[in-house]
Amino acid sequence: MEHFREIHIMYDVLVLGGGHAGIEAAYIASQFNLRVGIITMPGIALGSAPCNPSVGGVGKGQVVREIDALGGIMGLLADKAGIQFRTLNESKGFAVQSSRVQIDKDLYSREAELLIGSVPNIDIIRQKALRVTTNSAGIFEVYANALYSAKKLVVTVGTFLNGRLHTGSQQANGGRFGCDQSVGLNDLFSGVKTCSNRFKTGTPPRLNKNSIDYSVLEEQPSDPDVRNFHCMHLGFARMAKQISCYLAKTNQSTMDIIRTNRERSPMFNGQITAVGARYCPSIEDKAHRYPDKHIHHVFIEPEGIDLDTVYPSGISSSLPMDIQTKYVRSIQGLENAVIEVYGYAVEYDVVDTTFLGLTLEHKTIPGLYFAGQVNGTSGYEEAAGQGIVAGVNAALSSLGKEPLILSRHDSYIGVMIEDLTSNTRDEPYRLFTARSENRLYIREDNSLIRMWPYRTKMGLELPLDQYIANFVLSVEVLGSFCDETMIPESSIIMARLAGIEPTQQLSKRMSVAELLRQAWLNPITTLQEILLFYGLAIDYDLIRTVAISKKYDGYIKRSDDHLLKVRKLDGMKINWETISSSGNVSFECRQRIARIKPETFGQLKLIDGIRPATLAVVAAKAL
Amino acid sequence: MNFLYSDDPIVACSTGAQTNAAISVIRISGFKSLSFYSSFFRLDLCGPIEPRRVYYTKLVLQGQFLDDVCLTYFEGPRSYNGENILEISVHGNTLNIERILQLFTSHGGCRVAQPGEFTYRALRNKKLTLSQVEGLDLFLNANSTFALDQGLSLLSGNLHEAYQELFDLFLIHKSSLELMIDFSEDIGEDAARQYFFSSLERLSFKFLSLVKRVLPMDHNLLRPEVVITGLPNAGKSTLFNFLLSDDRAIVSPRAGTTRDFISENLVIDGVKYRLVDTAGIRESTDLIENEGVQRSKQKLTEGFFSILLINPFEIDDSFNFFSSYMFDMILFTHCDLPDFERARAAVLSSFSWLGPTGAADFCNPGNELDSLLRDTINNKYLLATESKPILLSRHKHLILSANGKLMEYQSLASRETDVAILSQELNSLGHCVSELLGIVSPDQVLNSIFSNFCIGK
Repeated sequence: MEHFREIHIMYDVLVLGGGHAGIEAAYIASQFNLRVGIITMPGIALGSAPCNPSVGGVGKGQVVREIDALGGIMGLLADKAGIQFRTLNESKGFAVQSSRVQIDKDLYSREAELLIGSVPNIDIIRQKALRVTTNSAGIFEVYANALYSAKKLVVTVGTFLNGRLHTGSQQANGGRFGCDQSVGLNDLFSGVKTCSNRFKTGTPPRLNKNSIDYSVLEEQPSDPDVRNFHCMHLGFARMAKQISCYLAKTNQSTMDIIRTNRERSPMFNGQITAVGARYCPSIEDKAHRYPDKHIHHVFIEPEGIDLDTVYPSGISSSLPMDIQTKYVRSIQGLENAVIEVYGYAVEYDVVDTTFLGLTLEHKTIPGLYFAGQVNGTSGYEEAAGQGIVAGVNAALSSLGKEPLILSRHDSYIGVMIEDLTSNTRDEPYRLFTARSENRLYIREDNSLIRMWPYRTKMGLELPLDQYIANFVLSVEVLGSFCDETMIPESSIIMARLAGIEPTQQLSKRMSVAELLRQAWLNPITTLQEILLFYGLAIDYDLIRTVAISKKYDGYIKRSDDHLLKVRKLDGMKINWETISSSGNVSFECRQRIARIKPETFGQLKLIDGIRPATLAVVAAKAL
Repeated sequence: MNFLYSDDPIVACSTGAQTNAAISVIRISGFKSLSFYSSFFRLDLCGPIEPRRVYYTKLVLQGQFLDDVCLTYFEGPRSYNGENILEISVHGNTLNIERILQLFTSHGGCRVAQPGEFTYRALRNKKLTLSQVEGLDLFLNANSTFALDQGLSLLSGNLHEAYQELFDLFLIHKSSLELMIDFSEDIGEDAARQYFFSSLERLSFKFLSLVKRVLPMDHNLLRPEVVITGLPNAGKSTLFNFLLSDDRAIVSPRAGTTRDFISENLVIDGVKYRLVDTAGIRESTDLIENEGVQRSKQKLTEGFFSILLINPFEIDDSFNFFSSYMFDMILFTHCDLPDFERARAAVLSSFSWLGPTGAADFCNPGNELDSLLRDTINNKYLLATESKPILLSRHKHLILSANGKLMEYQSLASRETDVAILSQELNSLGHCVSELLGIVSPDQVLNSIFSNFCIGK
């Protein structure tokens, strides 16, 4: 390879890809004072948002706050670029409430460039990587315009591997609209054995914002009561101008247009063979799968304050351009809509994540990490969550330190990584709150408390660590105040609470903590009022965290008792070699077990298609 | 119990080895290869052994002839429990059986099977579901054609299907709750809420149909009892003996002759009942007799069919004791004595709780009474089994406890707005439903099921 210019830089951690996973991995690794590099496609800004212009969502909001508490940057960038904030599931209880913020995607990328560019120990290398090999010392060699060496390599190449775009019968190679594709996974790693599947994802047409009649659409203004993501940002101060989203709806004629053009859809005429996600259907999927349903929500989301385009969420499509124009214009309010960029579907290679461990390191290639959409996930938040885990572990490993593994019992990131590594996915993976067994505990309001043990294991002493340490301590103090302060049945406090909302008479004297558990009280306003009564001025974040924790304490204890038995069994070490050669286990199960090599009973349980009988055999052996 | 994870070869006599019989079947399961046993048989007499064929040959130990046998080889996984199985029909002398079992334990690498172990392996290898195993148990131990049929129906997976439907409806409801949390933006709040309540309604409807099959719980259809009761000297033992046509109970004119209840089998139309003669219920200083009275009271509440006998000439206030029980039949005895009509009328007027109807007279047992009783008992049984009641107590218990959870959940769903809390409560209902299916069965369940089995099956 003499025509490659040798660069005599040895990176401790080199990241391939500058998307949401890549910048998290690089940034967190740089915090350990390591030499870090990002190789990213020329012409694409760091942290760009090629699909929906939003960060957060149900389950995902929790992930963003987990990333933030671990020292990541997604929350920080989203706050700076946030132009409309919303709390989802507001009426359904604190445990399932999540924040979502619409971002100005240009501003987001600019902030990402600014932030990463300002870190002195990160090199940004804007070149296309062609090949990765390892030398005899186990050092990775990445061939781009030059040759770069690295001790640890984090691969976050998104949808670019062998990417192929479809709009009607038009096809092009590329990872996204207007961008080059990267080589296929197996070409990139010609010297390294990986394994690839192929997935599909889609995006809707982008509309010119001035061609829409907003007067007939339902306005959704920004909610001032959503707390910013970054814990050290002022809670409710907005950093960008706030604007509204709008809700439009499809109708019968929209769906008829799509249904009569079934044969021209690449997804239904056989042109696209890769698998898309059931939970993120294109408008074609919706039309054909639910032939009786004509009304579907279409959220009109601005892509930026100065950008002319809006993102109509809910109508992603790979239909030919003329059909896209036709069905878009059949929607009320969009009659004169001008399509700036047509929707398309993209097919791409993904890694078989069962080859990865819980640190996202490849099981047979030490030092090689995979994170983000290349692992078959969808969503910026999922990508960033994996990015920070891969980045931390690449850094810790290069320093010879213990790995950092997030448990599924206290984080959505942990849920996601365990789900990914224990199963071969047959569709893109998205986080739902339903994937967690511990939903009452894994909340947005306690992310700092949940992540603090992990953050301390990193051994960093930065301002963030100071801030969280203080916060955690204060939560303990306020928590014991709640446990120890008694409220009499009739008291001035109760009278004051009655002034705020309908209040019941207390049946007995109870502690503040018990009072907060009462279903008829809003725990936050109640605690606020009590503290005011005692003349205590306490930070809103603290009050919120403590009040909600107290509310769920009883339920969580009950759930813990139940989970304890399960967890004990789940944590049990198993010998997959013995099981996979046991005559008592069906052939199919043995094959799956031998491939995935589960180390604990919990992991075994998560493998798709493992029969109850197999679990019974293994569980019995432990008793 | 440690057999849950053992896969040693096991051996047992499958036909019961307690008494001598013409033929007994010895079964060996879980051996790696048939060739291991080739020296035990005179293969020169029957040729090479193929699966699922019967061979006549001689069983030998080191050349010594032991028995003439027929053997059948079932090759796993196409066998009862998925393992290699060898069934040997031998002469059914208990000593012979013992000697052959010994042969396989000391020279054939087998150990004696634990009760139910063959079947446990069938469960483990997914040849049977938990309900099927229970059905087999019911089938093998049934004492009525109804129990026999239900056992058979369980064995063929019928009840399992009903539970599967219940589980599916549970999953649909569970997913409607998850839909409300994770996807309400996609489908809209109102649609999500509507889906939630309609699926809950369907689930509780299905539950209702199962609960109907579990109630009433007060008598045991697996061992139905016909209880005869009355004051001392009412003629209980006479009726008992008549129904059985023998002299099992001691009949004498002295009150309090039957000190404890006596029971015998009574078969009516293919159903095996326990016919129970209770001790005369009366105050007594005799300790043994008092004990008998206590047990009689218990029988009265548990019995499937109860008959109250009244001797109108020997009756006092202690008779009021019976007013708190329900009787299927009330009979007056001693109608051959003079003044019977007057005595009977006096009884009916002093003990108004008896009511004007439902009383028959009985002087001397005869064919008429016999068929009246048998028909009435049989009709009640047919009525009780009409709704296809579920007999297994584990199932009854689980269905009722799951239904209790469902009702709690429904009341919570009507007032709690925190869906995460709702979802958690729903999970505990889910555990009950899946236990019914035997998906996640605690080990005690397995233990109790398999310890109820007779050796060899």
